[in-house]
Amino acid sequence: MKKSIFSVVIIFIFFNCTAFGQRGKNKADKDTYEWRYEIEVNGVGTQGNYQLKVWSYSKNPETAIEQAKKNAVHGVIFKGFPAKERLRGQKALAQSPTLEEEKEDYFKEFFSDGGRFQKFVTLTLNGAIDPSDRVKIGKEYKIGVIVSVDVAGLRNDLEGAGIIKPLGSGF
Amino acid sequence: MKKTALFIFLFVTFNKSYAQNSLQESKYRRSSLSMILLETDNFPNKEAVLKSWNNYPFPEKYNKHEISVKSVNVDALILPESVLIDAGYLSDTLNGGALLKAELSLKNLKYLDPENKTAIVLPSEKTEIQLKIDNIIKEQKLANKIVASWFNRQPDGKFDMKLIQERGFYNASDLEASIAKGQSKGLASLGDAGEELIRNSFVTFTKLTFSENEPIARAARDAAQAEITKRLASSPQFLIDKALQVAEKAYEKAKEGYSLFSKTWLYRLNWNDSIAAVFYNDLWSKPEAFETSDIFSLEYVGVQYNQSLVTFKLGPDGKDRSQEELIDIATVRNIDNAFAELQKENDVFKPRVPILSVNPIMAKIGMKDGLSGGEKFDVFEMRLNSETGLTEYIKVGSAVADKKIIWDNRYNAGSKPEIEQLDANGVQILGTTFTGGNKIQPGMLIKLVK
Repeated sequence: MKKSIFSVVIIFIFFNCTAFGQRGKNKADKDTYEWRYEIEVNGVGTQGNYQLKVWSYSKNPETAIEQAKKNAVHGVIFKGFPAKERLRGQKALAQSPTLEEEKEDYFKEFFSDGGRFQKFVTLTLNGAIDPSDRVKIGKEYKIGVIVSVDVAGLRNDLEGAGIIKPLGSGF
Repeated sequence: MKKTALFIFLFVTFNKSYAQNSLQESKYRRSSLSMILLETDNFPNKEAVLKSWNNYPFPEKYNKHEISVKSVNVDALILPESVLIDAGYLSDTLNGGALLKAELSLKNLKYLDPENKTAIVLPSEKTEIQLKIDNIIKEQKLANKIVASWFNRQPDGKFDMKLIQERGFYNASDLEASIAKGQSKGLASLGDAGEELIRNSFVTFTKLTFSENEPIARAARDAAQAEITKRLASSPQFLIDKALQVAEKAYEKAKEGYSLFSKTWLYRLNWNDSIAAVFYNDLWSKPEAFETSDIFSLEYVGVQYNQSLVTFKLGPDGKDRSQEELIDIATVRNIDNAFAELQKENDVFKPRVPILSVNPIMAKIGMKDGLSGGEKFDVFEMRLNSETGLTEYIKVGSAVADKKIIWDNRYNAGSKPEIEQLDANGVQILGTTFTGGNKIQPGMLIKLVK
């Protein structure tokens, strides 16, 4: 009898922990796949590297920080970013506004956890966040994280995979 | 060849600017500070002291608030009688028992007759300097200067919001537009600018006094040797010689360097909604009225006395330090100590410091800021109140400074730290670590608990 109660308790705890972990992940994915973020150029480096500040929104601050890298790459591909002061901007790499829907399967895998997007983005300043870039508005956080995106490498990769056409190739 | 040189120049410049962007300092709203030196006539090594003061590494936890008054010769300033009378001096003439009582309590007296039978009480040196500071604030309209600096007052008297925008991280066009639309709207949009930025404007007045240790050490040695000679007169000569040698050794050890005394008075700008309303509505576009306005003032917050005994002779590289270096280190460390104490004792002056990383929690605050280990800090996060539109700092946790290793960020005259601090992995320590809850995250701010 004791053994069976013990087993039930263990299974219950295991089930709840798994469900809780899954809920956290689902939450992070939900926040990410709404693609609600703002992106601004923060610095321009060599060889097609851009330092970008990505403002992400989430009820969970960790989620906002974690998803900043995905958001930055998504922004470079589908939104582009405007020039700021003396820093030049960049148009979206996607030549078509419907590219994301057209290549849905490709981008679903590309932006999955541990997906290829990771290859082209790194957190700068060890992920340090300026206090002025971290604010709770209502029930959710707006957090600005600075990342470095290898825009040239990303372009080459998407061109190589046939997702976007090479520059100057016409229509 | 020229093309190659141009390419290298552009490449280096480009990469340098990228590196500078990467190393930019943390952005957060800080208190603002103006520092004024109270000069005195009897400075030993006055030039070296002034040089050190002028090169003082401004405390990075405050914004440097520029005003035209940098130093005042406090000895040359004669307080008007009216100021002394208003402060309660020069009013009563003392004689007989009252005079005797004042003399016994070492009051500063001015005798009115050659026989010293009548006198009036003058302020003590400490009170006199404080009265002089109050007089400087009033006569030089320092509070007006601080407000003028906040609003970037131009030679033609016009104000703008450039500095407020920079220090508050506001959108410049929004601010200018709200001011242009109407003063009441402008005022509302500046709610947290006033509360967080302008109200937290501080001024320090620092008076420094140096004295060489050698004359004091020599006087102590001479007195000790005279006592030894007297007391051991009947003892064997070798005992007398031994005792004299001990006194000489003590003198040799104590004669190096200087004793530095500093007094730092702290004041804060009075700024509230009614002062702000008068400024925006009545003075914003009236340069003459602003210049003569008496609505701005500074309030006294506290004073800190510090003494540093500078006896070390060798630098971290084992070489002798020059006299100028000794003065420089003593001056900077003494002022740093004064700031650390003023921060500990006055909650309004305590800076908020950003958390740079977690695992472990780390912030750039250390020995220079008065930490010795085990201090408790409150942890805050910034929230935007959607009803008022103002930012608020809400306490979300606590953190305790490491008890064993505190980051040594004290000034060392441009040299390496005296002891290179390395962590368990041999990596140089660049901040103090803290223990705290797992909800603490980079970008939150910590503030020392009183």
